[in-house]
Amino acid sequence: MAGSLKICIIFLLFGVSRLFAQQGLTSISTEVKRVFDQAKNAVVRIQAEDEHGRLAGTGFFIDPDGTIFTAYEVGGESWDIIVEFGSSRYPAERLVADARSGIAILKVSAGTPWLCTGDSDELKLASPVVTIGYPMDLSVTPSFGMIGGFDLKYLNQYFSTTLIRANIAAQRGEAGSPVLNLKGEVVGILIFPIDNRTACYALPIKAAEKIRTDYVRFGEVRPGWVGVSVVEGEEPVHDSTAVIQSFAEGSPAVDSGLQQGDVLLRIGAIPVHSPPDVVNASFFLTAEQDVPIIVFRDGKEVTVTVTAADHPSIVQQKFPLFAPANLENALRTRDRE
Amino acid sequence: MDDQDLPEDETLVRRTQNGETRAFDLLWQKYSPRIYSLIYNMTANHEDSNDLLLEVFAKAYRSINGFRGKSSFYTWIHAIAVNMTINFVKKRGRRFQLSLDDLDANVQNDKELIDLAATNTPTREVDLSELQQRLNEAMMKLSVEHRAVVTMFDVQGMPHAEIAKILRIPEATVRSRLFYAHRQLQNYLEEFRKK
Amino acid sequence: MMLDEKQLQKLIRIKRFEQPPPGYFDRALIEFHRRQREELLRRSATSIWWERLTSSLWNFRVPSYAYGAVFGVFVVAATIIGSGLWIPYKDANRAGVISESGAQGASARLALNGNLDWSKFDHSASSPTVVPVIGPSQTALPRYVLDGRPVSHKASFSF
Repeated sequence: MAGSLKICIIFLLFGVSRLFAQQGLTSISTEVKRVFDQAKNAVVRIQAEDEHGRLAGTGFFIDPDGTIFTAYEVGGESWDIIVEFGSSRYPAERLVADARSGIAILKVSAGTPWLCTGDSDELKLASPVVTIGYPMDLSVTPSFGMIGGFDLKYLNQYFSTTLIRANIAAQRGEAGSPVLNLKGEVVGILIFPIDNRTACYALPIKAAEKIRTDYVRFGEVRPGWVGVSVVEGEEPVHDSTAVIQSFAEGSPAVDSGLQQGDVLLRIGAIPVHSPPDVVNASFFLTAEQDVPIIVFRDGKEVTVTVTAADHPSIVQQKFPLFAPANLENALRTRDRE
Repeated sequence: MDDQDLPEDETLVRRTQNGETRAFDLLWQKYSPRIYSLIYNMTANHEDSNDLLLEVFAKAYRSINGFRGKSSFYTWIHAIAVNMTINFVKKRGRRFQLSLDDLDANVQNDKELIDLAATNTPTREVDLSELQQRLNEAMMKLSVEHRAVVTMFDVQGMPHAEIAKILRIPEATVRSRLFYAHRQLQNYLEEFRKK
Repeated sequence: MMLDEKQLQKLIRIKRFEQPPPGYFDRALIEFHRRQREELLRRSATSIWWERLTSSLWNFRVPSYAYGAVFGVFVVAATIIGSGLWIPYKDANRAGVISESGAQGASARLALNGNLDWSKFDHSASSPTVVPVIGPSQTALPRYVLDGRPVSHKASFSF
């Protein structure tokens, strides 16, 4: 009797938990549908042509005047760009493309719906996100997943800034899709997939906004350069192991007040805990802008303000985020299918 | 005072005219604090100032395509703000609220404040925040046009020539308005000190 | 004792510390955008339709078959007129041919007079007034993009 009672209770609990799980799933689906319905009109299919032929991807409006964010792969080096929006097709011009960050900004001449930007810094591990894109030749489609991490490198290949890794199985045609939080705000732009498209990397919207602001102010992206080389210190000092090693000749760092041996705590708005953080911080520097740098020296914090200069072009050429897909890559992907 | 970076404003205006909303956001970041200050010192009311601030920028955004660059954006947006606020205050009448806890924490360390406290006569100790309040009352006794010149010259530190451009009056008129306004304020404050 | 001019000015100058609470201007910017959106939504359906119409007219390109059609009509009309089957009066002749190319003429005029800056568009082999009307059956499928690779580089920790 006790045994069968136990079994009854177990079944009951199982049933109840299934019910909750079902409800949980239903409420996730409701959330995703809500975000999708609100945002889908601002997401567009983009078609263009590049040296390998015609291509198709995704993009989204970021303001009411037809400004579009998409992946560099879609709009960075292509021409004859057409944006499908509602039942209309509009030619688009490229405003700026930045291979380092992996995005391009396009524009159509029309009044458009648009997505609000959220705070990509607020995202945490396992934050739920929704992407909306145009896979293959299919209609606009939502996907749902979790943030898997924030990476500065993948398989020993460094990015130019920290990217958001999302456990979302993005499909071909979805490069340039917006990544949205459950408030419906865009927090990232989908750039490329990893590991057989079982997960993907997105550029945080904060980094994309840096590109857009540079374009608005200067007509082009102007990465800033201070000229400091950093090494790993043996012991963390004030929670940082990033130690200034040397200054590049003729750089703004020379005679700036920074010294060899200073432990870097903060560069501009970005806190530094280790040498790789410096790579991320440098992405947000802009030429001609004053950068407050906080270091730890002789037992106290010192703030030094340096005016960044234009990033030397040689260094720039070495660090694009990725090469646009070439035919080999495309074929290789097809063969794996 | 020449902290307006003309080429940058020109670029941002041009980009806004080309349809780049983000450019207008940057103009907002640059100008909203001082436009707010201008409006607030004329209305002495946070809520009204908030509404007016949004209206001023909305008007600027709507009319930006007609902005030909004959004056600087700085002058243009100040002119919109002053005119809109004067019209608003005149329609609203003389009602106003004092917001007493406005003073930022920074003011406690301000050199000018310390100087002022030091020059106080020993015969009567003046509580500085009380004096501040009296000043605000005195300001609101001025006509809104006089408040406008006092705000621009004394609070924001704009030169006479710039104020003249914004209000579209001769520089001499700016000077005489300031002279009159200062006299009035001195009289009001003197009345208070005598009490 | 009266406050002198300098003291008065110092006192007034302190008013520049009268600031709204921190974060106010960022929040107000969000409110600004919200009001702009509301205004857009409130715009009448007519004005939105008009904007769509004018922006789509800027982009209108005559499909290539239209040229053939116009030429064909011209040939037929010329034959009919030339053989004396029909003697049009002045206006009808023009009207007959132009009704086909009227749309083209109007859009060309609009395109030339419009405020669209063609020089900003990417120049390619085809004409700048491009919206290629490509039906799904007419061409092969495009390459659906999501296969870039990051270029690896030795990380040099510098900024």
